[in-house]
Amino acid sequence: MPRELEPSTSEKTFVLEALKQKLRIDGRDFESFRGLELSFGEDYGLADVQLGKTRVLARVSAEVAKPFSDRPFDGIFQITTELGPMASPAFETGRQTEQEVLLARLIEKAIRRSGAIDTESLCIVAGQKCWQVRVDVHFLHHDGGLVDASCIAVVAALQHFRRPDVSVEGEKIIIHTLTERVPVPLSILHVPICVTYSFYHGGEISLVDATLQEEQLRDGDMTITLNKFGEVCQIAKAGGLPIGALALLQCARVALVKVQEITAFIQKRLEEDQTLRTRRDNLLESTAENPR
Amino acid sequence: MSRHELLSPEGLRIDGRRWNELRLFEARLSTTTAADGSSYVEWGNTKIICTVAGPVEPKMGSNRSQDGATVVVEVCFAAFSGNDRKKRARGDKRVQEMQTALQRTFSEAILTQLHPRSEILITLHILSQDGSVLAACVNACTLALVDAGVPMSDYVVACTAGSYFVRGGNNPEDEGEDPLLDMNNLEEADLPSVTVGTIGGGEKITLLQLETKVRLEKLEGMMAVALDGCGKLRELMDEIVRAHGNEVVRRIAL
Amino acid sequence: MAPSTLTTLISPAELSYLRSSLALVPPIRPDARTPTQFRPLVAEIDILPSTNGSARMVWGDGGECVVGIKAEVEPTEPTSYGKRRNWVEVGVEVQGQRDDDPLGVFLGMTVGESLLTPTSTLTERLVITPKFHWKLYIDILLITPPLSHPATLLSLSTNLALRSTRIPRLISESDEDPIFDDDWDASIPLYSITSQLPPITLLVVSVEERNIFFDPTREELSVGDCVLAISLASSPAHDAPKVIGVRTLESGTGGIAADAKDGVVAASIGGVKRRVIKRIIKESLSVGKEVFESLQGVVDAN
Repeated sequence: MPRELEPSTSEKTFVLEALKQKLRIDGRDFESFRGLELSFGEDYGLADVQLGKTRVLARVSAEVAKPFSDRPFDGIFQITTELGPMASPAFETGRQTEQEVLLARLIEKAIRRSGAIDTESLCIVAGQKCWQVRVDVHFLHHDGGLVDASCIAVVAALQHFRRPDVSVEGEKIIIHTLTERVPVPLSILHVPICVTYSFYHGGEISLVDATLQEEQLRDGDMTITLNKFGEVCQIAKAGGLPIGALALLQCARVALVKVQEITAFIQKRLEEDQTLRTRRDNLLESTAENPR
Repeated sequence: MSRHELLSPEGLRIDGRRWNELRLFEARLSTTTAADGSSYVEWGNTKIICTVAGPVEPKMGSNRSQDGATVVVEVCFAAFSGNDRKKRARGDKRVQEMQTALQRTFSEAILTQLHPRSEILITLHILSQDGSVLAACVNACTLALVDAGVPMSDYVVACTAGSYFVRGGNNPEDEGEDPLLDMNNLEEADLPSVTVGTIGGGEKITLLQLETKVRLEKLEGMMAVALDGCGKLRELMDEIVRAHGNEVVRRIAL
Repeated sequence: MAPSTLTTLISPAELSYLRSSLALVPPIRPDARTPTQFRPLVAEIDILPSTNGSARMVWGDGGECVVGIKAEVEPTEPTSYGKRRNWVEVGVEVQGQRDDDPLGVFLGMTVGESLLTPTSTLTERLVITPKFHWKLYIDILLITPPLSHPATLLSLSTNLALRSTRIPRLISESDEDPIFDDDWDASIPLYSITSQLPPITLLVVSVEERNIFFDPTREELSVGDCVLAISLASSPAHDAPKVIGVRTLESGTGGIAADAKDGVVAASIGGVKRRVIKRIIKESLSVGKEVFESLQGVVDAN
């Protein structure tokens, strides 16, 4: 299994020394995210996120399926995250590394377990038919912050997605095509966003959104997921450097501010995309005149 | 189970405890003579057996590290441990996540640099689940490692805390959230809970896991209660270890 | 020291020493036990509150076995009687080994088959109504597998666990969906004092013609001529138990002889005589009776 190239000793010393002097390699301060870019695809449910050099794609699709026997009133919601060699030569398809398992669990806890989607609204006929919503996350480039980027991609894609409208007549179900009836957005209860902190120098220094290099050199990490209402959806600090409780709570408070900024940013982008779409869809009513 | 019953108006929980009382924590060391170190922990109805083998030569070459010992953790949930009989697949993600959390926590606490190029194998068998399973695993591991004589900087202690929403009723000022210490199965199913692990029962947290939604303001209260619980548990565990040590010395002397 | 597997490495000198001491009349066992004496063991039942029945045993060599039994209601398929074998599912988990490890599967089958012999009335007691039955899940956890064959440990633990199993009492009528009494004290034991008790398996080793040993250690297993796993069932009248199965296990010598040189004793070739087997089975009956009595003692003490 190919291993990731570890930073050289001089790189390591340089980065850690710079952190002691309150400097990050890319010049950010300790609490800023990298430049966030979000764009949507032609079809509903495709979100492309760029967090610095890290690039993640999320695709939402829905199909009608039979609900689980122990939950007849709920739809099915699944998120798959698979790290492949496209993201980084250190990853292999098919082999579930520890990092991949943790990433999958984090995304699942943050989005699925916290109830971002109202699964009851996905039910069509109780016990027989329901919508199965599936989010596939593809990692295009790995430069640190995979959890943060994929979370943003998934929630953006979920908010962007429209499923076909359904009408139920007794036992018969009619699924209307996208042109026949206006597609319906998913029922999103809240928007969780993940923020990953990295710790250095015995816990004195904590950074938000580490690049790959900073990730490889960190002594400990913690991922906290919040929504803009100030509810903590999950915290995962799996061992590593012991950090004081007050410092962790301070990190949580800073994370809340970041989450609110990012949520507002996603909302803005969604609205921009929506106006673009209505303008495009209403092309039939526009004229063939050249602009004067 | 309605939330009303989880905390009665008199301040008693389902099992009769008050909000800041731990369940009965009992543990025995050296329960499995064939292993290097072992422990059996009963925390309420959560029962866990832990065995430690090591430091030994690593079977897989990738586990051999020049810098220190590699800690490998294996967690097995017995099929009869939950309410329903459920046989878990080996690659279950939740189990893997627990294994990674335990492995990273103990890699921090164990003085691994004293045993380079070797591996310490920790195996946990969960016989009965009644809430606070991860915390109980941490405590069982600590005791088993102490029994095996693996050098650690201090006890690694973990505890859980939850948050109970009190409805105001007639008086809106009564409304608030009460933190609860040491959650059992029924409480964990309904209420948000956090697992906190510390090295030495102090203020520094090494393991923090929250899987349910809770308001940020309430988090501070929950963490404080859990840290307090960790302190109490550390004393309990220390007593148990010392009692066992005295017993061993007495048996040798006879 | 990591938990070892079942293969043992013993030098020819050691083998010869063991064999000659076991072949004496009267034999001398390495730990000075009598041929029918068992090593000290720990047995406790009803240790797991969330199960229908449970037991834990610690064997003489440190091996530990925890058995938990859960019963779940299942609808009965209106097909042939033969499907009743599926009503009991045995799962064996040996620490450190894969789920489909041959040893685990073999042990599970040993236990499962001896429970479902044609004479056992177990499946009758699992019927609730004509439409529903109990499915019994027997999960066995072997922690640090003993250095000797774990068959006896497993069967004795399973026996105790089954003896401690209680099934909730039915309060609905036979045609409705089954509803049970919430009061656990009103529950019915699966094995009442009149029903045939679950079988046990004993491991027996024979050396030369006359010497038969019970509860063999790993060293004794390697020098024995013939190793048998004898399954015994006891009837409620507590008279002599009956043999319900005999399985041969690989013995250390396997009938291959080494040339006797310089006083090194060689093993015999080609297995054992019929009368030795007969003698073994006869002895197992009396030892089996004692084992059943001591198990009864454990159950009664609770």
